[in-house]
This record gives sequence, C-alpha cells and structure tokens, in this order.
Amino acid sequence: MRQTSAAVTNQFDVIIGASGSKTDLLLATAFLQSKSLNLIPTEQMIDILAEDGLDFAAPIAFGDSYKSSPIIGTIAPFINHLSKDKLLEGKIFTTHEHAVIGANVKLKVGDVITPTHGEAMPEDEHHDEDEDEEHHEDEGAHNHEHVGSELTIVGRMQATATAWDNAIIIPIEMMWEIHGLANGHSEANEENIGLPFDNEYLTEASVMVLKPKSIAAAYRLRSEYDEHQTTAFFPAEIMAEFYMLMGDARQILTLMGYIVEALVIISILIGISIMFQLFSRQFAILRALGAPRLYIYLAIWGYIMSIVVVGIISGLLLAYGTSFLINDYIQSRVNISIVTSLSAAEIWMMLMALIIAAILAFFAPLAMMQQSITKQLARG
Amino acid sequence: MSKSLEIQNLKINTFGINGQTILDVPYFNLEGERELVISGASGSGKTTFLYAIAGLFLKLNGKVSWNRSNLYNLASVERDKWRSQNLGMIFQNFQLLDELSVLDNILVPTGFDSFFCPKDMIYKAEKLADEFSISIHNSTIAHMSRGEKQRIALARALIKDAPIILADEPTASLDEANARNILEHLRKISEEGDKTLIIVSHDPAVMEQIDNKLLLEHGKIIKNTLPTISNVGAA
Repeated sequence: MRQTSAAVTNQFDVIIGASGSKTDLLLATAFLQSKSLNLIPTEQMIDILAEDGLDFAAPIAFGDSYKSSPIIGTIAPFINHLSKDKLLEGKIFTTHEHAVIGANVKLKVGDVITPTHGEAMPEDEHHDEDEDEEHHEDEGAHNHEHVGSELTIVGRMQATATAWDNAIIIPIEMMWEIHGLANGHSEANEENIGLPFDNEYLTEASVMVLKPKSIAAAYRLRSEYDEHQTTAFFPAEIMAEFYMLMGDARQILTLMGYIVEALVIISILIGISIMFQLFSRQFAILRALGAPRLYIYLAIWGYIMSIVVVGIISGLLLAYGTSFLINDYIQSRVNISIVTSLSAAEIWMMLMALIIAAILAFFAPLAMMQQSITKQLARG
Repeated sequence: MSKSLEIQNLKINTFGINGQTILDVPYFNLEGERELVISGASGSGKTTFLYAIAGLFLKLNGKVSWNRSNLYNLASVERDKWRSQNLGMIFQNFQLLDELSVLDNILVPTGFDSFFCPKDMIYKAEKLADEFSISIHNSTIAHMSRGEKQRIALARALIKDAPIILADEPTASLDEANARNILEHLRKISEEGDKTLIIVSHDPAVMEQIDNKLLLEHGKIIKNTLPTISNVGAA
C-alpha cells in the first residue's frame, strides 16, 4: 500500500486548491476520488500561472464522466508529464473536441463519446447503453448527457499506475465550455488551447498541479500559496501522516500476527497430541514387528513436518490469493494497485513456525518411543 | 534350526504401588522342542507371556533368553533388530494397519530393511494370500471379516520366514475348516523350516494336536508337559 501510494503521489509535485482539506484535495487529484471541492479564486489562479520557476501549472477541473471513467479537464503538458512525454498511441489533443484516454479505458482512438454530467460509476454498478436510456430520465438533472458536446478520442496515455489510467482527459477549455463558462481565452482566440490563458476569461478550477523546476521553487510556492484563500502542499506531507497511521495499524496487525502464530504453534501441539492418540497403536504395531527406531523416527518426523510445510505453503497461497482478490477489489474502486510482497517479518514468522515445528517433530518421536508397546497394542 | 528359550525369575506386575503380579515364572526352558501351546483362562497371563518372550516390554524383572542371549540385556535398537530378524508374530486382535492395503499389510515387515520392497517379497506375499484365500483386490481392511483379518495377520507373520513364530489365538476367528487348514499350515511351515512355533490358544483342536503344553493360571505355570527336567516352578 505504501509503495503504491508513494508511486502515485510522487507524480504530483505541488498541489494547490482553495482553502480546505488537503486530504480531500489529494484524494481528488491523485486518486480521482471526487469530493465537493471549493474552487480556487481566479485571482490566485492568475498569480500561480504567472509564477516563475515552473515547468507547468496545470489547472484541473472535474465533474463529468463517461460510463465508469471520470472526465478531467486539464492542459497538455500535464498529460505529457503523466505519460512520461510519450503517448501509448495517437496524439495529444489539439482542439477542444479532442480527448486523450488513460491506458485502461475501454475505448479506442477514433471513438466519439458524449460526456455525462456527474460522477463516474464503478464498472460493476454501471448499466449498459440500453439500460442507460431507460434510466436516463430517472437520473434527471444530476446525471445528464452534455448533448452536442461530442468528444473524439485522439490518443491514449501510457500506464501511470494511478487512477488516471481510467480517466478521459480533455482540454480544460472544453470542460469549462460544456458547463457554459468562459473557456480561458478571448473571443478572438476562443479556439486556442492551453497556456497562455487570457486572465479576463479565466474560470475557476478545483485544483492546480504544479511542476516546479527546482526544489527551492517548490518550497517557495508551497509556502506562498498555503495561506488564507488557497491551500498548497506536497502530497508527501499528507502521505507521511497516512503512513504514520498505517504504521500504527501495521503494529496492531503485527501483534495480531504474533498472536496468530502463537495459536498456530498451539494448534501444532494439539495436532501432534491428537496424532499421538490416533496413531500410537499403528506405531506400536510397527515397533512390535521390529521396525527400526530410525524408521519410526523418520515416519513420525516426516509426518509432522509434511503437515507443517503443507500448512505453511497452503497458508501462503491462500494469503496471496486473498491479497490479489482484495487488490482487484480496491483497484476496481479506487484504481490503486497494491503491491503484494513477502516482507522479512512474514518470512521470519514462517521460519519461526517451521523451526518450532522441527523442534517439536524432533522430540515427538522420542516421546512416542518411550511409550509402552504392550499398552498401545492393548488399545487395538 | 529351532531356537532355545530360557526364562529365569520373570515377574511382571501391573503399575502402581499395589501393582498385582500378572506373570510370575521362576524358570522355564524350551530346548529342542519345536512346538508349544500355551493355554489358560482369560486373564491368566498368556498374552503377557507371549509379549515377554517377544521382547515387547521396554524392561522387566528377570531374564528371557533366546539361544542363551538375554533379550532384555540388548539395547533397544538391537532388540528391535532381533525381533525383525527372528520373529513372526500373530496378535490376538490381528493388529493390522487399516490405512494400508491387504498386500501392503502382509509386506509391512519387509519394508524395514529397504526403501523399496523387493519383487520376490511381493511375489511371496501374493502366494501367501493365495494359499490362505485372501483377496488382495477391492478390499479395505476395515471392511473385512475377522476370519479374513486373521489370515492376513498370519500371512504377515510368515512373510519373512522368521525362525520363531509366536501366535496368539491364531484360530480363534476361523471356522473349523479354516482353523484346521491354518494350524496344519503353521505346523508344516514349522516342521519344514525347523522353526519354533509357540501358540496361545483355547482351541481344543490345537491342544489336541500339539503335545507340548503349558497351562497358566493367575500368571503362574500350573501345568507343563515339556519333558525338560529343569522346568522348575511348574506344578
């Protein structure tokens, strides 16, 4: 979780929003979890866009969707940044009616779509086209198509391993236009796309993502715009708080892991004890028939160890299987792919279980061989 | 060549402070005789006697010597080895391993010496199964009759051609014809292989056919028909 979230948020250097919750801003920007965000006043947007020391300052606007994909309005340099300056296919948008899709969006270059006002629904909750028509009226004013605002898919971004892989990105001008707002350019330049904007025609945006040219610039901008009307922050600040919280949870989980391990060891002991009860007569028969001690020893030791090893491998496979299912679920909801890996702590726990089982398995046959053959035979 | 058996001051008690004596044999000697039948009422110590001479107790008071070697002076490993090489045992409750197939049960004693069962042993097991009318296919031990189990236990006791055969009630679960067949087989094998055959039995037919008899009561020998003069302690 930590690895994945860090990889996601590292792609957003400085985030600026209207004053409010930084966590909400981060969730909206990095994870596209729509929140009711306040809009950045245009005065502040103008100031930010005029700042030196930036590769780009990308205004971002949310609010529309197509099927399960959110539609995001922004500028081309931000797409290039996310896609590492190279699209997977097609080209970047050059007109207002163009759109670029994330790597996982189930559309093709050349497809034409009509955006819907409102949030994207998860895929499993999304209805097909026919159903959409049936429900169109019910959804009413909340989720309606922006008729006449057709968009043509012209390019596909490279995978970013973020929620943006499921997004449809359009020029922010188009996003403003389809909501009846000024599109950032004067009437004479209304077909223009991207920077520079005409300050008089600029519309408020939910978020601005900044790519400073230097660390010094990053700190300056973060400090300058974290004030009364705007909030500026490094995603790492929020993630650090989250990791601290996660660290506490991890400690609890680790403690639970130790408790589970103790229970496993108790289970092994009970299992061995039950095995003694169940198989003591069988081993007594073998001993009575002259089975060498090494034969009996290896039979019992092998039996215990095979149960433990099979148990550990099964547990590992089960845990991996479950983690993949959970990962699938989370990915379908928030498009975060969790990296599942065995940490040293887990390997240590497995080794501990194996070592304890091996010790028990070492002594168990010796204890078994101290039992009276005649008594065990009498049980038969 | 049949083995000699000598018991001296053998005393086995039940556990506890007030442990009762379940077997008390001051002296017993089997020298040159090939067959012996041990009889007695239930609880008279017959099976304990058999277990004692098989070396199945971890330790005990007294001496049990086969061919002048005291079994209970041997280290456990040596005693296991001695049992594996010298004894073919038939237990009162058969003591078969339900988890194994019929053939594998017969072959159990052969598996102690090598990882893979020799082919000639498999052939011998099949031959014994055939001789004792044991079906080795489509049967699980748990579903077999007592008679069938008895015959499997018998085949297992004979698989390694051991020089001593100890049989605890080998005919108890068999019908008259089968019992006669089994007894004849045991005696024939004993005679042809010059083996020592010691049988614990209530069966009058067994008692009738075997001359050498030992009668136990409350753990003591009360009748001994063995000709050896030195069998002190017998009534």
